[in-house]
Amino acid sequence: MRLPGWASFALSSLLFSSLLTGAVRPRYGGTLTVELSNAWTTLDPNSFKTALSVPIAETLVRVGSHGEIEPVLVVAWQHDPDFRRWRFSLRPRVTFHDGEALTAATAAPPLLAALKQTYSDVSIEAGGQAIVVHSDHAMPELLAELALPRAAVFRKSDTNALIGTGPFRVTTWDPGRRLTLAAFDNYWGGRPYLDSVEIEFGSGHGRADLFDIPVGPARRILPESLATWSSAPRALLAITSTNADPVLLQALALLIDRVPILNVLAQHKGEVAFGLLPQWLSGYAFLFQSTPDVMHAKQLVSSLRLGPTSLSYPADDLFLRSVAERIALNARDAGITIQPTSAGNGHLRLMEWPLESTDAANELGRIAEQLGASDRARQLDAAKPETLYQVERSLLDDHRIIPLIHVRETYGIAPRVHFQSPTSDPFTLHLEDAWVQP
Amino acid sequence: MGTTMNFRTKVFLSITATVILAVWIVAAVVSTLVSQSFERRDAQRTAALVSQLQREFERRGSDVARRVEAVANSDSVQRLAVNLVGPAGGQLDTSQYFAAAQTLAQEQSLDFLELVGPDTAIISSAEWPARFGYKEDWLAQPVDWKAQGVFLREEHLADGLALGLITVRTIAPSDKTLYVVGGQQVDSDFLASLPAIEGVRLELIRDFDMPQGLAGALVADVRREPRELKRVTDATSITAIPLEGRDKQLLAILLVENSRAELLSLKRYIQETAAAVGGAGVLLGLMLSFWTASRVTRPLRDLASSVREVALGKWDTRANVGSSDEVGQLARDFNGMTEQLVEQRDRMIQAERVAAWRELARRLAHELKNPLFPLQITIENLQRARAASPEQFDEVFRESTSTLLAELDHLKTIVGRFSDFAKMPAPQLERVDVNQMAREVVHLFEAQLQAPGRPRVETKLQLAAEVGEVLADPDQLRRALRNLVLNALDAMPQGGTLTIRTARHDNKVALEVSDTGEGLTPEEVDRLFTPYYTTKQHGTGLGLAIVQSVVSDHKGTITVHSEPGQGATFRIELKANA
Amino acid sequence: MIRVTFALFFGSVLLLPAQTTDQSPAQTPPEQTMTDAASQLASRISSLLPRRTPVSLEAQNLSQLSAAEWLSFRNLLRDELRKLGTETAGTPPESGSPATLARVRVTLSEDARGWLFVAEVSSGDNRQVAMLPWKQPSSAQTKRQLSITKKPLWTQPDPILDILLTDSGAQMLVLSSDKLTSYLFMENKWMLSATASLVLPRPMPRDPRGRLEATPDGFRAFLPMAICQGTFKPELRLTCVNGTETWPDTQVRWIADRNTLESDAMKTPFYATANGLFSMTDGRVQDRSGQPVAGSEGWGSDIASVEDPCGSRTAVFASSPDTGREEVRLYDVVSGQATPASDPTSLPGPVTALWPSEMHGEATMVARNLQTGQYEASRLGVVCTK
Repeated sequence: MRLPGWASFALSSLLFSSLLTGAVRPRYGGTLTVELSNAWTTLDPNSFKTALSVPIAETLVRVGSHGEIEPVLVVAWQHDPDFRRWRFSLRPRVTFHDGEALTAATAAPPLLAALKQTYSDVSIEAGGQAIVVHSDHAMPELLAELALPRAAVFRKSDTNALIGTGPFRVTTWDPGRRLTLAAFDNYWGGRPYLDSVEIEFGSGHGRADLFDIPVGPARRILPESLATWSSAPRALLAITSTNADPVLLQALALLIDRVPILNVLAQHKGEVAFGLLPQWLSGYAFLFQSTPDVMHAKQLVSSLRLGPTSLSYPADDLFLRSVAERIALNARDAGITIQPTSAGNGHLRLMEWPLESTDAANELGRIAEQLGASDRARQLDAAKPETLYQVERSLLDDHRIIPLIHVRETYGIAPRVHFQSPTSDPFTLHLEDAWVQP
Repeated sequence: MGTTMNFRTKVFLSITATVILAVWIVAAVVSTLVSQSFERRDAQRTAALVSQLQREFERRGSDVARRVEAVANSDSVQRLAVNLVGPAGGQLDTSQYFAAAQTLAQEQSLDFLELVGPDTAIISSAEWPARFGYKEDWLAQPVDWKAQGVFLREEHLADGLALGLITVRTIAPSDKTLYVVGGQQVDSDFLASLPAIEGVRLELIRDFDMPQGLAGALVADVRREPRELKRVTDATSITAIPLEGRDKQLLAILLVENSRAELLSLKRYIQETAAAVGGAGVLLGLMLSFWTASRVTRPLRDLASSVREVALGKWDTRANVGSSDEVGQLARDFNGMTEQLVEQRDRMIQAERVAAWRELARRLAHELKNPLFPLQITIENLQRARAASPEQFDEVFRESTSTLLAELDHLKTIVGRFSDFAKMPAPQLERVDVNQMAREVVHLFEAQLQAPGRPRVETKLQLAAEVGEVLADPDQLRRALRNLVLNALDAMPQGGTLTIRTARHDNKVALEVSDTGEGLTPEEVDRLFTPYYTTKQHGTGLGLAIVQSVVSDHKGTITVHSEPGQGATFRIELKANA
Repeated sequence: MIRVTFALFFGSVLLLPAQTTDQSPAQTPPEQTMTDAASQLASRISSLLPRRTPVSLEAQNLSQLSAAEWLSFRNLLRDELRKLGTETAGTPPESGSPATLARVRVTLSEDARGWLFVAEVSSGDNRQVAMLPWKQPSSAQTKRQLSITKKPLWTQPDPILDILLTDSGAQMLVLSSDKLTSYLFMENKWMLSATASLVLPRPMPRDPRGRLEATPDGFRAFLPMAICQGTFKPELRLTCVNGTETWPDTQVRWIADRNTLESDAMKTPFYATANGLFSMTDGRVQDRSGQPVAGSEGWGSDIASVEDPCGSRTAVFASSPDTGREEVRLYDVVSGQATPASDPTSLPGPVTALWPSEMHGEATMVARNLQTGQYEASRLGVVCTK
C-alpha cells in the first residue's frame, strides 16, 4: 500500500534523528520522561485528543494511517447484509493489566455504554470470545464507532484506577500533575521497549526526553539540533459563532489572510484551511480555496449596522491570542471592529478542533453535530467522497464557521529517544514504539 | 454731652495706635516683598522646570537611541540583516523572527520596537505583534535616520494610537536596508518616571483630550497656534508645551502645572505670623502702652486729682513730685501754685470777707440808714414838737410813733432777711418735678405781671418734656427760682420778656431764667453772687446769694451769661434724678 | 488437505482470511488500473454534462504520481471522454467564447486512504463535483531500483523475519512474526503453497526477529521465545517448543523475549554478529575482546558477513545511516579497522533483518519501504566488478 507523500514529511525528521545514532534496532529498558504543556485531568480514553498516544486501554479496532480499519482486540468480524447484526471474534490470549483475561463478558459492558451514545437500541450478546452487536437499525459505520476512543475496553479497579489491555499500565496518577506508566509484560502485541514512562504536565522544564512544542513562536530556547516529530495537520483552528450575523462571518472569511497566520504565527506548523477537513484527510480541501477579497467584504458589511464584535479565545493561550489580534487587524481593513477578549462569551469564538481519527466521514460527522447539523451528518457516506464534499460545502455555506488553518502537533525528541523505525502513522506518535538509549 | 476721654486713655490709645500702625506697616511691607519675591521665584522655578523637563526629554531620547542602537547591533538583528541580503534574501522566511522584536524590546526595556524589512514590511513588532507584514511606508523616505535622532511619533497599537519617543536605525550590508524602529511610550507612566518635583504636576494632552477650566483654554490656544504658553492664577501656574512630531505636526501638549500652594502657604503663614506677631505686638503694645500710659500719666493723674481737689475747694492739696522731669516740675509748680492759691484764697477770703463785711456793713449801713434816718427825724420831730408845740405833740407823737413802728418793722424785716440768710437750713431732698415747679412759680407772678399800669412783661416757658425730676428741697428750689424771676423782673423795669427754660443733658437738669434787660458787665457778673451785691437800688442784695446758696447746697452749679444790652440768663444745673 | 490439517492444529487459520476480506464499507477502495480509473472517472464526468457537450479540460496533479504517469492518465481520460461523446480542449474557455460551454478541472489528490480524483464540472454558474477514490495495483507501484547487488525476493505487509530458499530455489519459506509461509516458484512468480501459524508460548517481542536455518530434513526457526522445527515436504509442518537454543553456525542464541542475542563469547547482549564482530546495543561495533572497530561508526544494528568473491576475505554487510539515508554497504574488516569495500546501495527504508543466507556469498536482507509500508526481502549478493 502506498504511503501518501504527505506522510514523508512527518517521517523524515524522525528518521534523521534516529539515524544519527546509528542504532537502528530498538533496545529494551529505560524510562522515558515526557513533558506536556496541557495538563490531563482524567484518564478517560475519550479525552485523549492529542497526537501522543498513551495506550492504556484499547478499542476493538482502530483506524489506520490510511483510513482503513485495523484489528486490535478483535481479529475478525462479520455482519449481515443489512448491517444490523455484527459478530466479532476477540483476539485470544489477551489479558487486562491485572491479569484477568479479556472475554466477551468483560468487554461487553464498556462497549455497550459507548455504542448506546450512537445507537440507542443496540444490544450486545457476549459468549466466550465472541461478541454479537445487534440493532434494529442499520449500523454500517459500526467499525468506525468501535474505533473511537470512547469505545475503549477498560475496567476500573477498586481504587478507581484505569485497567486496560494496552501495552502500558498505570502505576501512579496525580491528575493534572503526573502520570507514570509501566510496561505491561504480557501485552499481546509484544511488551513495549520502555520499562516505564513518566509524564509531567505543565512543568515546562524542557529537560524531558519528549515534550510537546506548542504552536506559535518558541517560548523557550530549543537546540538547533533538536529532533522533532510533527504530525500531519490534525487540529482545525477556526472561528465559530452561534448568534453573530452570518453575513459578518461571510465577510470575515473574505478578509482573513490565512497565510501569515500559518507562516508566522504558527511558524509553518500546519497548512491553511479553507475546508473543515485537511487536504490529506479529505483529498478535496483544495476545492474550497479562495483568496482574500477586501472589496467584496466591505460590500457585504456595508449593509450591516455593526458595533464592536468580540472574538473570544481561551485565556492563557498566547498563540490563539496572537491569531485573534491578527484577525482583528485584518477585519479593521474593512472597517469591521473586532475586539479580542479572553472572556469566554464573545460573539465569535476562536478555538481549536482536534481531529480524533483518520476517518474523514467520522470526523466530518462529528463536526456537523457540533455545529448543530446532525441531519447532515446522516448524509455522509464514507464510500462516496462526494457526500463528504457536499456536506462540508453546506456546512461552510451556513457561515457559522470559518476554517483558518490546520495545525500540526510537534514534539521535541531528545537524542536518546528513538521510535521503532519507521512509525508510519503520521497522525499519532505511539509510545509503545519508543525506546531509549541509556 | 459725650464721655470725655482721659489722658491716660489717650496716651494708651496713642501708643497702641502707634504700635498697631507700625506692625501693620511692617507686615504689609514684608508681605508685599515676600509676594513679589515668590512671584519672581515662581517664574524662575517654572522656567527652570520647563528647562529641566526638556533636558530630561533629551536624556530619555538619548537613552532610547542607545537602546535601539544596542538592538541594531545585536547578533540576532545583524544575522537577520545579513540573511535578508543573502542569496535567499528575497525568499527569506522571516516568520522565524516573528517574536524577535518582543524579546529584544524586553531586553532593552523598550515600549516600541519594530524590525522592518527592505520593502518596509514589518517583520516583527513588539508593540503590536499581529501587525507583521504591514507596511511602514514612512521609512522609505530618503532620510538620514541617524542624523534625525529621536523624535516624537504616533505609533499604532491594537487599542489605538500612542505617542512614542522614537528613533530609527538602519542596517544596510548592501543595497537592502533593515530598519530597526524603537522607542519609549510617552504617556502618564512616562511622565511619572521623570524625576518628581514637589508641587509640580505633569499631564499629557492628546488629540482627544480637553481638560476643564484654565488648562482647557490654554490647550485650545496652543492647538490653534502651537507655541509655549503660560497662565497664572493664585493657586497654580500652568505652562503648555507643544510636542511636535518630525513634520512639525502637533502630536500632544505637555501641561506643566506648578502649584503655588507653597507660595500661598508661605504667604498665609507670613500673614498669620504677621497677624500673630502684630496681635502679640498689639497686645504687648496695649500692655506696654497701658503701663506706660499709667506710668506716664500717673503723676499727671495725681496732679489732675490734686487739681480736682483744688477745684473742689481743697486748695491745700499737694501733688506728688515723683520725678525730676517736666511732670515733676509741673507737680512742683502745681504745689507752688496751690500754695499761692491757698495764700491768695486766704487773702482773698480775707479780702472777701473784709469786702463782704464792708459790703455787709455798707448794705447794713445803707439798709439801716434808711430806716434809721426816719427814726432819727421822727425822734427829732418829737423833740421839736415837745419843745415847740406841746399842743401838737400828741398828734406829732402819734404820727411819729407810727413812723417809728413802721421803720422798726422795716428794720426787723431787714434783720429777718439777714437772719434767714444766716440760718438757711440743709435742704430736705425729695423728688421734684422741675417743669411743674417752673409753671407754679410763673403762675405766682402772673397776677403781678398782669397788674394794670405795670410795664408789660411777656413770659415764656420752654420746658423740655424729658427733664423729669430732680432730688431737691422743693421750698428752697422754689425760693431760688423765685429769686431769679424777681431778679429778672427787676432787670426789666420797662418790660420785656421773661423766659424760663428747662433742659436735660445726660444726667444734668438745666433750669434757665432769661430776661431781656440791660444785661450785666463782666465785672458785674463776677460779683453777682456776692451777698449783698446788687445792682438794684433797693433790696438787700441777698436774693442771688440765696440762690447760690441753695444751688450749692444741692451740689449744683449756677452760671450767668450776659452781655450789656442783651439781658441776662441765669442757668442752674442740678443732677437729674435717674 | 493442508488447510484442514492446519485448521486442526491452529484454530485461527480459517479466521485469518476474514481479517483481510471481510471489511466494512469504509475501507480502502479496490485496486484499479489507471485505465479503469480513467474510464470510471470519464463516466462520472459525462453524467454531469449534457450529452455531447464540448468541454475544456484542465488537469492538476497534487499527488506524488510521477509526471509521466500523470500525462498518461490525462491522455487516457481524454480518450475515455471522447468515447462517451465528449470532446475536450486543453485550454480553458475565454470569456464569452461560444466554442466551449463547460469547463472540467480534474485533480489527482491524496486523502488518508490513498489517491482521490476530483473532477469539478462547471457549466455557466452551475458547478458540480465528482470524486473517485483510486488504489493502484501493488505491482504497478513504483519501485526504487536497488543497487546491482540486491535481488528482490518477496514483499509483504507484515514483517519478514527471515527467508529461506530451498529446493534449489524453487521453494521459499518466509518467516513472519506470526506465521511461516511457503511459496513455490511457478509461472515465473511465487505462488502461495502453505501457511503455518506460529503458536508461541508468549507474544513475539515488539521488534520481532527470527532466524531460519535449513536442516537436512527441513528447517528450524529460532525465535526469541521458541524454537520451531519444521518440514516442508511433503507438507509444511511446524512444531514449536518453548525456550531458546544456540544456533549451530554462529553459536549465538536469543535472549528470551528480547530482540537481542548472547553467546558464550559475548555475554553482553548484542543485536548481530558477523565475522567476529558484534553489533552492541549501545550502537558500537566491537570484536570479541571488546575493542571497537574503527570505521564502524554510524553502522546500523544489523551486520552479516559474506564471502568476498574477489578474494578470500570475508566482507561484512552493514547498513550505514551516517549519510542520512538508509543504505547498505560492504566493508572489509582487517585488524579492527573497517574500510568500505563497495559503494553504498540505497534502500527504500530501514533494515529490519540481515542474515547470512543459505547461499554462500549472499545475505538475506529485509527492509521496510517507507513509501509503501511493505517489508521487502532481498538477497544481497556481492558482485566483483574489478
